[in-house]
Amino acid sequence: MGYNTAVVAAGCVLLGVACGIIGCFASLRKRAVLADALGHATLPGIAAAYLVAPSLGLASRSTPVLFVGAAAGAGLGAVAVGLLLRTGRLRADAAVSAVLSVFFGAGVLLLSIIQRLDRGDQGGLSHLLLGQTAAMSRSDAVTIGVLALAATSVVGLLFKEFRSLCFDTDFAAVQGWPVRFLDFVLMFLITLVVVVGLQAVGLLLVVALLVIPAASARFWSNRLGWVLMAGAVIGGVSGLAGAMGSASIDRVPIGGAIVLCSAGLFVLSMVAGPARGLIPMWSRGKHLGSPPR
Amino acid sequence: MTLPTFLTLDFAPMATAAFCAATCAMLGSWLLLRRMSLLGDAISHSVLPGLVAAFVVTQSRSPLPMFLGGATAGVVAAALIELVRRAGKLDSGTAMGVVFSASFALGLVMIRRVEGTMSADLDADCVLYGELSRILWQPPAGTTHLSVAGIGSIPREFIAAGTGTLVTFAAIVALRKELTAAAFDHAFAVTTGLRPGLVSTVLVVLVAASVVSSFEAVGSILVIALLVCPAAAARFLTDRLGVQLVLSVVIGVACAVLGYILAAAAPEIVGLPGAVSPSGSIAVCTGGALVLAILAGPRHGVIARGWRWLDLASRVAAEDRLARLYRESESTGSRVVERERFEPRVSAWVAFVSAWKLRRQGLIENTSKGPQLTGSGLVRAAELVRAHRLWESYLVENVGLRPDHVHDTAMRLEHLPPRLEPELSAELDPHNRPIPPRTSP
Amino acid sequence: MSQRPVFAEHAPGSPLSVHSLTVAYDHRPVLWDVEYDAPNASLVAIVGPNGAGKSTLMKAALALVPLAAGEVRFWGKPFKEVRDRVAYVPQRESVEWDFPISALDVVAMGTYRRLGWFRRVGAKERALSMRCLDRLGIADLGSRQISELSGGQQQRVFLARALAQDAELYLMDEPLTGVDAATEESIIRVLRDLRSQGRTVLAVHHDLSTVPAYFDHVLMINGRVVSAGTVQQAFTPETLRTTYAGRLTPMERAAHALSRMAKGSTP
Repeated sequence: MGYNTAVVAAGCVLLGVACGIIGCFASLRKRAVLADALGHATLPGIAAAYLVAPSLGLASRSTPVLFVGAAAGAGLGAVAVGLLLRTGRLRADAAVSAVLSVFFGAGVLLLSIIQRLDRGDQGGLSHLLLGQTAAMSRSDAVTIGVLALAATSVVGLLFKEFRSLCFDTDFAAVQGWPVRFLDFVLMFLITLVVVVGLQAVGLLLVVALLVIPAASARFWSNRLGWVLMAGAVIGGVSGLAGAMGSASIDRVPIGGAIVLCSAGLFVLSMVAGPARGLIPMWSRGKHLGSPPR
Repeated sequence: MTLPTFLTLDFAPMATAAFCAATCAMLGSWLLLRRMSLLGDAISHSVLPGLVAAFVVTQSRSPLPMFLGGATAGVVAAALIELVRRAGKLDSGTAMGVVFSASFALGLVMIRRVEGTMSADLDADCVLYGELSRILWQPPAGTTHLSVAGIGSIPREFIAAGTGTLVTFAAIVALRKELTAAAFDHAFAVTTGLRPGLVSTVLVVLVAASVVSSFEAVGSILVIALLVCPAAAARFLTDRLGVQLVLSVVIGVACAVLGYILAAAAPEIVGLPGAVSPSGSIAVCTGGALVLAILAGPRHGVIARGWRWLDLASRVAAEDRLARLYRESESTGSRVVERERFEPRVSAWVAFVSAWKLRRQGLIENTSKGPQLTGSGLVRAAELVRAHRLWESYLVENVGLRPDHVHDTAMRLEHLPPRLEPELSAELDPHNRPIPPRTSP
Repeated sequence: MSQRPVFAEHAPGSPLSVHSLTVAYDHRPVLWDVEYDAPNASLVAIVGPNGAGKSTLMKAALALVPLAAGEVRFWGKPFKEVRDRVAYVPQRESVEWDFPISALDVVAMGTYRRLGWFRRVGAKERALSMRCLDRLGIADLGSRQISELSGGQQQRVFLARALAQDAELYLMDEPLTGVDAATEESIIRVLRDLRSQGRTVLAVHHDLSTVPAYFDHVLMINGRVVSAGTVQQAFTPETLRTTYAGRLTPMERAAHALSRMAKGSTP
């Protein structure tokens, strides 16, 4: 395995771990589907940052610039979903779908303008949709790794606080925990991994990393600590396998490879996971009743 | 721009987009009402592997195999979502997320793998954004658009989209009873044999079909905008089902046409070369329509609500002032109130509008010595104070509240219409003040 | 507008004083002008028909829903100053019992506030949680996943969590609803222990037949306070009739009209 591949793989592993863990809390807090909107909303932010950067004296293609643009787009997307929900006339599913598609459309529009401008360095922007096909640079991988690590540590610090928030919000509020602030931190972490993740797997697929490992993890344990661990492992292994698979097989984009690996692990978990997998449940004689609403 | 040029370049894409918008709006309204908008999102992502597979098998982009491939993929995805939901005991949002993102990833990998290896061309961009600008209506050389040969050369995307609209319209009309019943009361639908499960399946199939027939025009992600936004905008403009359906179609078609025109014409105005992405422009227009509907909706819109709040708050503030002046002049004995007691804090807007209302309705006049109730002002004030004191009596006698606690509650209730006043024959309120007699019959 | 000092007429040592509380749901008043002082070291049953506002009263006191008017004090102080001394047991349905957590970990949540930010649950907290589970008779269920527990067992876990908070005032929303006889017994035993330790419990209670047996005080609500006091004084056939007689029509109509007015329809 070449040095470059190793670096990319390391970055993807750390990303997978962070997404697995944060995805668990996101889904427990019923916000996982919001991540889809956030992912798509980064596109107009990125395109706008690209367009605006030269007038601020910054290089257009530099990672920090696009990063900030992506974060701004995702933030605006989150605000937009919140505002739509506050009207009281739309449910979460409609709000998320609306923001997702309109913001993405705005991004597509801006991208087409960028293509017309022919500035010579816009070639790489479409990689942000589908993930890197060429090798990820070392600095990109390091950035991803560091940020993923930071996100994971925040979750580690706030484990019991998040657990309380997700299990019984009223009780947490009465105990005195700042529920709105904790929610904001969680949203911030979700946004962070979305923005970091789109570098690796592209913004169209980053939601998969937040949803699939977390869903798989649930089959492995009934204790939150172990569920998070399982999510981290599944996310990390998917990252590794996907990165290596994409490097060794011709014309397989890394984002797709990672997601397909995680999907495979999902099926494995659903069938064989000790806590809720089909085979262990069947052998325990449990009745497959109807799923929770 | 001449007519033939318009017909060649713009008519077909615009009409195709309009057809797609109409189809998606009809289905989107039902998805919205059944809280299944996420399903539209899921199916849009899930049809991708089916489309690519059809393309690989037939080595072409002819509509029928694409349609079959995509529709099959959509239905398979829906079935998988159900399976995952039951077997894995996951909630439906999670199950959808797992299935659709995995299928979408599969589709993207498949596209990359076949890129450049086939004789025809299917790249990721076209799937994602659609190719409206490449839809051309080119009649054979020497014929015009409206000749037989010309009509025969109508692009296939146009036909696909138009067919989609007709089929969807027919299905929705045919199943209108069942769709309505299933949307509002699932249990009722089951017990009266309206087969909501079957209806759900039909809806899923229709959504898959419309997504597939639209993907070449607007791309598989932007079709979601057409599914959700016009329907959501209509939701803010009406409460009636029939109006909702029609309005969503009108809004959708308008956005499609407007979006396309803006994409084609605006860059020239602004000075950019060439046209910009029409599908992106259309999606943004649907978003704009939604925002407009949220702001301007006559009953549910933000502006209307703000207006009603201001109206109510200013009426309450004006009535409070009338009642205050009445009590002042009751205790001092003079009609003119020399010194008005404290005024509660209200926002500047409310204060302004309430003062204007009092002036306009001629209820207060400002004499040189202070404000004074006019004749009609006195009548209205007496009504309010009567209501207030009646409520106070009622709250003490019938509800059992303490006399020193009823003032605030009565302050709220006095603004309700007189027919809601409690019917009591008391003459004095709990504080031994006289209850003004009824002034209107 | 009333300008009188707000809590002048309330008993200063009362664990829960409610003054002129008015609460609305979706612009519709549900509680009108509630006045109440809870007694010390007692078990108080909050009773009333469905929709009377019993849960709402509790949630409003705990600042979980906004107040349209009025104030609430705990031992004369605002809620945020005395959070450590108050424990809340929500209704069982308010929680998702499919959460990946064991019974012991749920009980340990009662100790979170004492732990403060970032610190983890340690052996001391776990031991305390086991003791609380034991007081409810379910020490053996500590490591079980909560979705595997019966309704009664889940309720006991909730109670144990409240015990772990070691509070002086307990607000419980329907602790005895839908539980088996054994659970009911063990919960009542715990409540009586709390009372003998000088603590106060206010519980929304559905079963009128057991009010005299289990509780010494009662608060009867139907949109407003119908009666409050010891069971002997306040829980009489007449007060029962008034409480359960159905809503007062003018008040009902007024509440409905106020809601419509706020939403912009004609009242």
